This record gives sequence, C-alpha cells and structure tokens, in this order.
Amino acid sequence: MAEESEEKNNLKAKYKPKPEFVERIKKLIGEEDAEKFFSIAYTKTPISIRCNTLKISPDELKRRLEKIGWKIHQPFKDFPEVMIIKNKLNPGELGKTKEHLLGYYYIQEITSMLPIIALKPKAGEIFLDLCASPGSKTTQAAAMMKNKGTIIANEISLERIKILNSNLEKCGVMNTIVVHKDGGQFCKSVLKKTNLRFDKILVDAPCSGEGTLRKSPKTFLTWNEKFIKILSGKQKRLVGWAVRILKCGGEMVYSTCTLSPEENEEVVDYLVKNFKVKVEKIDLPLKIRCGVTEWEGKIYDEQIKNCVRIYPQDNNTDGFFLAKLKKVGE
Amino acid sequence: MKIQILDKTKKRKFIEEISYLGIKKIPQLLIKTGKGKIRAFSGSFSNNEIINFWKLFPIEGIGLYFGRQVVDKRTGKKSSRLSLDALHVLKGQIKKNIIELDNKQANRWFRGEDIELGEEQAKKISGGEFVAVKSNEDFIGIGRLSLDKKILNNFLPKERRIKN
Repeated sequence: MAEESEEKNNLKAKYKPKPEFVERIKKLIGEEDAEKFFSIAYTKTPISIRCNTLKISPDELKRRLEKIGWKIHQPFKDFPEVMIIKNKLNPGELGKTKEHLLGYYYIQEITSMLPIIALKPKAGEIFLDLCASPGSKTTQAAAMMKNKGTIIANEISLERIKILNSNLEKCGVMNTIVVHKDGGQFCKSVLKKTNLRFDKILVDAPCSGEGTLRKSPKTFLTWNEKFIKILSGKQKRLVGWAVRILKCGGEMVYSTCTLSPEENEEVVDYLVKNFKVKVEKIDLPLKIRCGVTEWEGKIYDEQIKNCVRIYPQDNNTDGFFLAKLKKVGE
Repeated sequence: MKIQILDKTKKRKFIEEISYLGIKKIPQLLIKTGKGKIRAFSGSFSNNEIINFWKLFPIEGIGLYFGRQVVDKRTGKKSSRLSLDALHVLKGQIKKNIIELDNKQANRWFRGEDIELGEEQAKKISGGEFVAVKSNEDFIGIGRLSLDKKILNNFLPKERRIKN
C-alpha cells in the first residue's frame, strides 16, 4: 500500500495536468467528481484479459489460469470471456504464460471491449473495422462472428499493420482481409468503385487519449486544446465517409478513448445533422453516463443523450466514449 | 501482397503434403501469397469478390497463415510445414506424427530451443520430416526431426517465444 501511494505521489509530481484541462474536466463533471477523476488518474487499472473463444472456452481458460495460481473474476454474467485478474502478478508474467503465447487470451482493457459488445457483430455479416490496429477489437469481432462472414480491417500505418497482423495470427482469425489505406480514402474508394456495403462498421477513431491517463500519464503533458480541435475535424471526415458505405439499416459504433466533447458528441451531432442516422441506446454491463448536449456554447441534438460516457472513477477502468448509430435512409 | 487462390488440384496437393499428420480436408479457401506461403480464408467473400477487392485495394493480409511449401535440403523432397495456428484449427484431424514433450522440454521449446528427445519419444514417428509438437492437451508448434530422430528442431516463431 505504502509503495503504491509513493508511486502515485511520484507520478503526480512528474505529470501535472495543465490548468485548462482541469477546468474542462470540472466543467464536464463538477468539482467533486473532477477530484475523484484526477485522484484515480495516477493509479493503474486492474489487469483484464479477454478469453479468445476461437481457441478455448472461458471455463477451460479460467480452470487453467486458476491452476497456475491466478484469481479470476468474470465481472459480466453475459460475457464470460471478460476476465479480471485479481491477484498481483510479477512483471511480465501476464504475457509469458503458455496460454498467452498460444493465443488463448488477449490482454485488453475493459473499456476497449465495449464497442464490440455494443455492436454485436454476428456470423455471416460484413463488418468494417476502419482504424483496426492493434487488433483488439478486430479479434474480438472475429470471435463473436465465429470466424464467419467477412471482416475488413483497415489501418493507415504500415508499421501498425505488422502488429495487427501478428495479433490476428495469434488469435487464429481467418475471416479477415487487412487493408492499408487512409480510412477516409478507403471509404471513398469503396463508395465510388464497388457495390460493397457493410452491415456493421466500427470507427474507433484516433483521439487525444484523455481516457488513457492511467496507463499513459504522459498525456497530461502532451494534452493540447488546439490538437483537440484538429482531431475533431479529422474524426468528422472519417465518420462522414464511413456512414456512406453503411447499409441502410446497418449499425455503426463511433468510439474514442477520450472525454473531450469536441471529439465525441460534436462528431456524433455532425452525423445526426448531415446524414439519415439515429443514435441508439446502448445497454452495457457497467455504470455509464449520458452524452452531453451542450458544450462551449454549442447545443447538440437531443439524441446525443444516448451516447455513452465512461469515467475512470465510476468503474475503476479507463475513460471512454461510444455512440451507436443506425442508418435509417440514404 | 500478391494473392493466388488455389484451385481444387492445388488445394488437394497441399492437403497431400500435410497428410503426414493425418489431415484429410481443409474446408477453408486456400490462398498462396508468395514465397510458398499458404493462407486459409474462412470469410464469406467469393473467389471473384476477393480478386476484385484485391485489384482495388492494397491488401496486407488475408485469412490465417496456414503453412508453407518447402523443399527438404537433406532429401530434396517437397513437403509443407503447417503453422502453429493452423495446428489449432485442424487439431481434431491431427492423429499421426505427434511428439509429446514433458513439461521441462515444453518450457525449453517455448524459449525457442531445439529439444533432445528420449529414445521412446520418437519411436512412434512413422515418417516425414515435420512433426506436430504437443504438451499435455495443447499443440505447441511444428518441429523437424533430425534424421537419427534424436533432435527436434524448433520452428516456433520468435514472437511466440518466451522472452527473457
């Protein structure tokens, strides 16, 4: 305990949040909650893994990991593949087990599993993961689809494609085609040159990462309001193209690991105001908060309330945002 | 990435080349992607859809790396070596040429080391240079037996080994 507290103090001293960032968080959730937010930001998230059901059942994996002394907690009854390791592990132990090397589990933070839980891809569907690397969500989707149907996993960075491919191999994913292209350009080409339209699309967009402070406290130092505005523009462009190649009646999840409304609700509001989409309610097995409908003088559509915000202090996770949209017309 | 979808004859030939493990069928589409690498695709795209998609987009991966066609330098014989993940997909069919390692040997295997085999271990191996390597209930890779059947050469990819 004393060791943890010392580590927390060291991190606090090294990575101080910028005053503008503190103000924005206070404005979003109030002073008292902001205090909790900044307190938990200097602690680690619990270790979580996802059982790769393409290779092993959750029961069998749990049995094996308990045999090596791990204490496994499955927090969500309907999703037994989600597991939290309750005991302390030695450095590197998580990645050194035979079960990990064989691809029986994937190390993944709980919030990162939520977009696919919300989107529920099914066997036989045509699914697009527009910003796919490192493959956490692609491999999760393939498992839910039982390696049937087709996944297109697009990634702009060739370097990150190597990581994506390596994770796809390890998890035994067989129904995926990996494409190296800018996300917007990919959608544009699909729209103009093919008749291909997707049942489901995930846009897990590059973002400012305000939700990942617990694993990457450096974000405190690199945080920049200007950058948020630039990212917001890029995200709107990306989702705007993505929604065009979604089938009518198809569903899309837009998610980020940040909390700034410019990168979240404002992007969804742009979709609602420019395309025939509805923001759907999302049922998730943890404490969630509604999307904000007003920010910095901008009023967003009422449906934006159906967006989901996850704050680290609510569930002892990272921070996250997601919205589920249904296309209701061309 | 260049791709070539294997027709029935080429697919049958590949299956023959891995029949030393007892494998008789592969339901997935097989695709050759250069340097003799074979990948298995279980997606719903038809052959034409795959080819048309490939003509339009820079594909960097398709399906699962299943194995590669190789020539044994010692004997000049053509064969195919399955990947670790292909073993997991086809495990229900693998009945022959299996080497079972004890826990100590398996730990060394995961460190990428070649394994010295006990006299009994390779006794059941009927032929073929490659063998499926098993530890308890898991297939943990493909190895190559030395001609005297005393050494098991390790083909576990670097990224799947325990790093110190």
